[in-house]
Amino acid sequence: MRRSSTGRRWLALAVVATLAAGGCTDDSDRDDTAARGAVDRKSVAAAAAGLPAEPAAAAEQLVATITSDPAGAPAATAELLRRSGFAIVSAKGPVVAAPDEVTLLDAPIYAELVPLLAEATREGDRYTPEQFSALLVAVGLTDKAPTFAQLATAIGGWGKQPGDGAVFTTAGAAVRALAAQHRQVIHPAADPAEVWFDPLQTILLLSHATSRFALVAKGAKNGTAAPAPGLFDRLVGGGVAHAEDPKGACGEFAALFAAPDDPVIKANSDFLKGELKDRLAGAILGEGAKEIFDKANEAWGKAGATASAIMLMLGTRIDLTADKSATHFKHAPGSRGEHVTLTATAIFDIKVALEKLECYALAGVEMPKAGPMEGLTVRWSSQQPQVGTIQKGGGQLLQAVAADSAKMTRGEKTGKDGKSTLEVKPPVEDPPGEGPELRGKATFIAALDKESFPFELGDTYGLLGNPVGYGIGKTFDLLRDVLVKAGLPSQTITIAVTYHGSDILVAKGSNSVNLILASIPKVYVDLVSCTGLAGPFKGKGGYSGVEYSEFEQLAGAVAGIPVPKSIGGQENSNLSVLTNDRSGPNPFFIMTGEGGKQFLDGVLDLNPDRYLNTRAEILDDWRVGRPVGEVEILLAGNSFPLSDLTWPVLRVTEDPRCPKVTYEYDNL
Amino acid sequence: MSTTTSDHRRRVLTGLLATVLAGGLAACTSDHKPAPRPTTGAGANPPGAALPAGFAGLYVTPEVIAVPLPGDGLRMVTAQRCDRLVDMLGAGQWYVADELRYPKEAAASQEVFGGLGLMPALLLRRGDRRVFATIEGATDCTATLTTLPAQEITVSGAGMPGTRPGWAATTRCYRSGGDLSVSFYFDTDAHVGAIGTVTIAADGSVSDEDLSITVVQHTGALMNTLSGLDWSAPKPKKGVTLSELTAEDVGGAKASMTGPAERPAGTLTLPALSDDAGKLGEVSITVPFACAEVGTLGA
Repeated sequence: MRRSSTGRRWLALAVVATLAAGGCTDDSDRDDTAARGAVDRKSVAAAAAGLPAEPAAAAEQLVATITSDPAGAPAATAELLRRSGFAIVSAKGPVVAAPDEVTLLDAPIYAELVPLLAEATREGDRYTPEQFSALLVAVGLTDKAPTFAQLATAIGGWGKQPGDGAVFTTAGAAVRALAAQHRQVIHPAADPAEVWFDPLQTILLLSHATSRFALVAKGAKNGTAAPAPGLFDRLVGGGVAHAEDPKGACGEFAALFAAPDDPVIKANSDFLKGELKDRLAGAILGEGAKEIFDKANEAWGKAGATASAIMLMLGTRIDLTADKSATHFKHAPGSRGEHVTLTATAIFDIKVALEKLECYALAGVEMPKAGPMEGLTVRWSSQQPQVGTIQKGGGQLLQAVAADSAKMTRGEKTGKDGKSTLEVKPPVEDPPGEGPELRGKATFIAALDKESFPFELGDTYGLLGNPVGYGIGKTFDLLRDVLVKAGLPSQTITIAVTYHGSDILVAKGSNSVNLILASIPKVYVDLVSCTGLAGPFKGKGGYSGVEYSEFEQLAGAVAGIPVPKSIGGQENSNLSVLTNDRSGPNPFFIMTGEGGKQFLDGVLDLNPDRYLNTRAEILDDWRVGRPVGEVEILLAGNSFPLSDLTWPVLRVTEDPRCPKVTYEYDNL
Repeated sequence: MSTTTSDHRRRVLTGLLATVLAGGLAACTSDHKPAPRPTTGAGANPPGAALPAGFAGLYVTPEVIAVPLPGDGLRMVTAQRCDRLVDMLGAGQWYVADELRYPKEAAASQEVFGGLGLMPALLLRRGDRRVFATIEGATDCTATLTTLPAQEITVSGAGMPGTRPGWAATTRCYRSGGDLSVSFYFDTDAHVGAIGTVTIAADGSVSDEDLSITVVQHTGALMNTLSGLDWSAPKPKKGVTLSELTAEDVGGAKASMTGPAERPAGTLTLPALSDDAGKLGEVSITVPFACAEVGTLGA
């Protein structure tokens, strides 16, 4: 059970008093890091034990741990980052885990934030490729956002060639393995809408695209890396170890480099084979757009700040609840019993003892307290059924009450409790209870506003430098730009809504069939469902009669085909197609032909997701509807190639065969 | 005379055409046993449904159905275009080390290029491991993948490298009567490779009449070289030499057979071959083969 913040502080003070003689210096409060797994030297070493020798295989195994083992995920994340060239550092300075040979110069990762990164990765927090491209522009890597194909080309081949550096092989393999965990393959022909990057992928890609690299000094690993945490750290610290600190705590990271004063020379060394930046440049320059990559040299120095800020943002989460999960349309105006109240709570969920980042890229940034966050703007939106699903007057299943309507457009600031609420209401049926009971779903989205930035600068902010000399003051402005572009988290909740009335789908069409020597003036189908995709679709289908001319009869005789003077039409007016909410093709029988042979059949292919909500089509009786599928008449079991016997299935608001109900929202 | 002239190339191609077209027919009547249940690709990634170990790190989306073949082969089938599947196979943890694809301008002549034995294929590498994939189809696509062990291939003759590390992939196998026809590609780290077809009798002897081998000396990789050939040019570009090998008397040519009858494998030993130009002297080739499945002709 979580203790209160005040309680934790008293406990911490008591422990500090008890252990003061031991020289412990961490006076921060403490939450239950063990629940997420601590990131310290010991846990990182344990995560590395037994990994395959091949870097890519080791990365795949670490990714498997991250996604399948909640307790082991933080340490596995740290080890994956370490193998990808990131130094894992404490916010107070000491290096927790150093890369083996090559390290990113400007992207130390705060150990305290790694559990956040692991959890957000596991939970599927995401950035779209478009957002990631915006990040690359924001940090100054390119003038123009790389296309998805360019990104995919670079990622698909990153670190796979013989001789590529282990840090690049590891990072590239990890990004691809994480994509595979999302059931994605990042390749140029993939659909960008189906690809996203989780936070760990984002950190790996962003830092490798923008940072520079240096060799790790011999002996740095043993000389500067921290020992396992002591008792105090285990009790009240962040689980992050401290180490001897000859140059001052914040200088320890810089001591990792073999030649910290001359990183540019090192940047030209052979150990850079397989670098992502080269692959990105190749992908972009390969398309004849050199100018958009000219700013790459300006980007370095910002990677650490950006990556750390993204990780901080992962601590900002939004929870969304509703006071009921289902409701029904009103049968009388003025009732509030059918209303649903949604509550969004913005919280900071870091769960480690950390009040301020004292070293490195975000030095001076003060941590929000864990718990509700006041003053963040929550914007509300909704996704509701296709227009026309509900008959006249029922534009939406649920809409905000009058007093809350502005929250859908301008948002609402969270109070001290971190909460924003939205009350929504269904319309009133007229007449009430008429027609079958239909089911729908309304999904509401609560998103933290992009202008919100939940971290404040501490007094020391702007006074500190970082190891590579990048101005901290600039970093804050940069972060604001970057994170506004990347956006803050959102959550969704779905409310089931039932109502009386009709959801009318019409599957209707007719055309002639030309069989060369003979023709049928009209084959037709006319079906309707008053209960939406659930069906059944009822109606009629058949063909009209025909009289053949003397010439056609003569031509038939010449060809050896007896053509009668006339053929009577036939209709099956008792068609009933059961669809049961089943998307995809639903075959149905219309009638057999002469001698009981297969003649007319149909296929009702329902797939509303295939169509844009805004697309409209017109029936032959001039009713306008939204397509949700297609109906086709088959001849002898086959599509007929010489006439178009396929017509759209349309959602319409009225049909004489369905009960007529209208709806109106009351004034609440 | 080296077969770098158009006449000789035409003969090489014509010879291969007849052999491989017959193989194309055989492909329709494959007699391998019913495939096991489909397994989703590693990219789909539900635990326990990953690809066989030899293919770990090949990622495909759930639209691609992967079916293990008897032995250590794997077949992937998708309703997507082949270029999309090829992109996907090269975007996991493996990279495309070599690829044979039809020239873009020859898209309408796929039957002809297929008849020449130029079956679209990929050589995928991950570290020291290799997977070979033949690609068939256009809008719907089938890839047949086999793992390739570390191999040594012997090509001896004037200017030939002798025994060298390389890879050999069997692209197609079919039976006609009691004979087994085997088509293959191989390449070595000495940049000498070949495409060929041989017919093996039940006793392991190799027919000289049905033997067709073209040795390709190149500066890059075999399949990339073949993909880049300008078939309308009088001779290949600089650095590439095609030599058609024939056997007047294939005494001693044989196949040592291992593996079950439905997936024959072994080593082809082809001594006393010669090219028309005589530049290569007496050429002998020793190369392994392994049929993932065997079709039948005329079944």
